[in-house]
Amino acid sequence: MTDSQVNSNDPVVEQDSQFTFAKGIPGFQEISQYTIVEYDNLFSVLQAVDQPEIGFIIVDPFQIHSDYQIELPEEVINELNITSEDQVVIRNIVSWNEDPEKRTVNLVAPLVFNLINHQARQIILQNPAYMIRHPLQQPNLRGD
Amino acid sequence: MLVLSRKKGESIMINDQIEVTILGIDAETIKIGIKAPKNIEIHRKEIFDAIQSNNQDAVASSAQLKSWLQSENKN
Repeated sequence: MTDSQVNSNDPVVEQDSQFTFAKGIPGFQEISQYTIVEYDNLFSVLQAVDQPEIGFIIVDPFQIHSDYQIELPEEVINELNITSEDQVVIRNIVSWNEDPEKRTVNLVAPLVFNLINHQARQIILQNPAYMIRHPLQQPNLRGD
Repeated sequence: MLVLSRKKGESIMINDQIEVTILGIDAETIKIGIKAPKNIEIHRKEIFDAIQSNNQDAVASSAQLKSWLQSENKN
């Protein structure tokens, strides 16, 4: 495979980071192919393939909310063909704001990824304890 | 839109697999029971709408996302 020019600031997109959202995600039902680009140990970007204008910042919810809990409904387990827990990765969409205090994370509708077959889905939890706009309190990574 | 009248305890069938029953009526609130196959997703519409609009608020271009995250790391 011959690579075209790679900008050193761009994280390398690996083939195995591509996922299919068979039903799209709410609001973007027509888009099914996304890649995940890791940025640092907290944030990643979920980027629509071939559509640079469509992307989301996503975060590992367990790093910001240590008691976050998800029970995957049976229909999701079947649909994504999940056979064991360790093939599943959960990420949540962040609504960014220049002001860190106004950043929120959607804890009601996590993204579920199957690392084995690369199928993914945004699911909606029935747990009333979680908020769609949960304040994003970042762990202090810089240690002031 | 199809409009039907139903009394408490009565049902409607959607295709032959989805059954919607009126379980109770209390002033402005109606309690509905839904029997459907597991692959049919059922959500309160306002929750689905809120997630859709949250996704639409969160979307940004690849360049924008990159500049946000890079400026974050510089701080």
